[in-house]
Amino acid sequence: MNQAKGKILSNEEAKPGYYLMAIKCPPVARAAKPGQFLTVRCGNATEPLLRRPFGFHRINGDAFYILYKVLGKGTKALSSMKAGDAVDILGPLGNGFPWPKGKKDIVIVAGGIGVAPLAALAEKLLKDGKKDISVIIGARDRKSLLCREHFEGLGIKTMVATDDGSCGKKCFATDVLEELISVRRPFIPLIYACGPGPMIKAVAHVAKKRGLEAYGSFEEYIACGVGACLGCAIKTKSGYKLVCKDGPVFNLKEMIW
Amino acid sequence: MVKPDLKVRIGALELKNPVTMASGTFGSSGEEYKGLIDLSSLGAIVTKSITLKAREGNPPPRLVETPSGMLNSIGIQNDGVDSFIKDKLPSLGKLRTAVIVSIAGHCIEDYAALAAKLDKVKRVDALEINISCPNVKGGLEFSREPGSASEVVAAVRRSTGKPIITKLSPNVKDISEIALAAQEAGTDAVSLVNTFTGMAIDIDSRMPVLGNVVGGLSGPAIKPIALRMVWETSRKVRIPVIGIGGIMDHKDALEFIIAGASAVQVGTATFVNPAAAMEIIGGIEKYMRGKKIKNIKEMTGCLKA
Repeated sequence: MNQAKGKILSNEEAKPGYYLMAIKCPPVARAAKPGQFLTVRCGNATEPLLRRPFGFHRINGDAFYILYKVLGKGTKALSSMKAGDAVDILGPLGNGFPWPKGKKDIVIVAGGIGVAPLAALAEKLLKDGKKDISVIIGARDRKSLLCREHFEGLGIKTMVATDDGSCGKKCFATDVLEELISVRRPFIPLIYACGPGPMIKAVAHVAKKRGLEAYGSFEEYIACGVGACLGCAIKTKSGYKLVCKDGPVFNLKEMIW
Repeated sequence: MVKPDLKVRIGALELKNPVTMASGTFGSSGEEYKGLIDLSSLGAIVTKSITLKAREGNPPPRLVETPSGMLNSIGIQNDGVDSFIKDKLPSLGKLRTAVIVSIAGHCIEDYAALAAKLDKVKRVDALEINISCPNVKGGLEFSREPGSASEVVAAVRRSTGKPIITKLSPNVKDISEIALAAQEAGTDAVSLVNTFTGMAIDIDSRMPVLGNVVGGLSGPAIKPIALRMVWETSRKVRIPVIGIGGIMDHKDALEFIIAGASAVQVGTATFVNPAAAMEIIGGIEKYMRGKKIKNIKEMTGCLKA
């Protein structure tokens, strides 16, 4: 874990309201693993005050990318930053995705902006020689569908579900997951998920029903990011756990909904 | 010019500098920040409040950002005093920084029992009595009235020979009255302020944002009020006052010291910038060199009013 100055290499609008920022920050980038996160100080004022957490979207040598949706004051401030600007980075924080043992099929389920950390995961899995990877991306509509081309460019089978049917199937990402599991038999994949709470809960439900191992990346408001303030507690079967220090990735069978 | 003298005294306890880490913001031993900052450079670490028995804490969400501040409702989640002594204190062993242990209880007997247990622990340099947590049922009760505050302080005083700091709530009619009562009951210092009770509402769901409905407000938003309370209190008491409330940089810290604080606590700023406390120490030293001030003690309460 390091607190270091990063240099913004680029900051571009990927889709309306969504930005892709590349940051050069060797001490953080070199130590980062897929599923871990970083926090950024969005300016020097007291408003926005707290650092904002982001998953590593892509990790590339001395640099990394974050993919973010402009939601509030913090992300709004970030979206106005330019290449060459310096940013205060703290990371890598938390634990990465647990790595699959042996030869195993992998299904990645992404919902909305939750796709961000899953790109780094897919890239690393491919690098490690895992080939049987499927990705399901859920989004509200075509305009907010992210990363499809990126996964397809990596040669990964990518399925899309949108709420309004403007792209891919008109259903939830977890409906595609259910279908995928019931069509292919025997199919005992390891599932990785990141997205809105209800989606992760639905993934947990499918995984439980089919006896599948599944991990989800969770989000909470974060203050310290290092496990000191106990602010990002989340309920699990073994009591409160901290999203920042014990997570953000949890085994879905451990969670209480 | 010789290096400015930053040492301050809190009762019998001498701190190498006036910048200390506020309870609840720095973990139980500071180990979470070990790789990020030099813990030995700090004046003191005030550990997360401990209770006699373990506490699970409040339901999430436990925090939310508000304009120039944040609300928290952690609820003193901790593993209890025995676990603290066994598992957390040892990592503080070699640190050249004062360790101030914050204690919280449901009744006066709890505080006395905690103080008695910690009195025997060598590494504990002082106790901070938390009678002001807004997030625990009954947590604020003791700091509301001078009578109950003084009962807690007296009970702790009888149970330990270590220096005692009493942390006061700003959610009272007159904080200086409570400070005076704590002084008469034998506290060595008072620290103020704890958080202001507040809340935030999600207008779409019409639900409170915090799982506990209400929480404690901290950060720059509370600084002017905290500063005024430190000024009012320090003029009335003869014991040291430790200033707390939205201190983000050395200028904020100096404002509290000029208002009458002998030392300060840094909390929310550490979340924003883990190196904040170290930068504050450096900033105070630089200010003193610039103004040719030899001793930080000259600064306490030097307000021209």
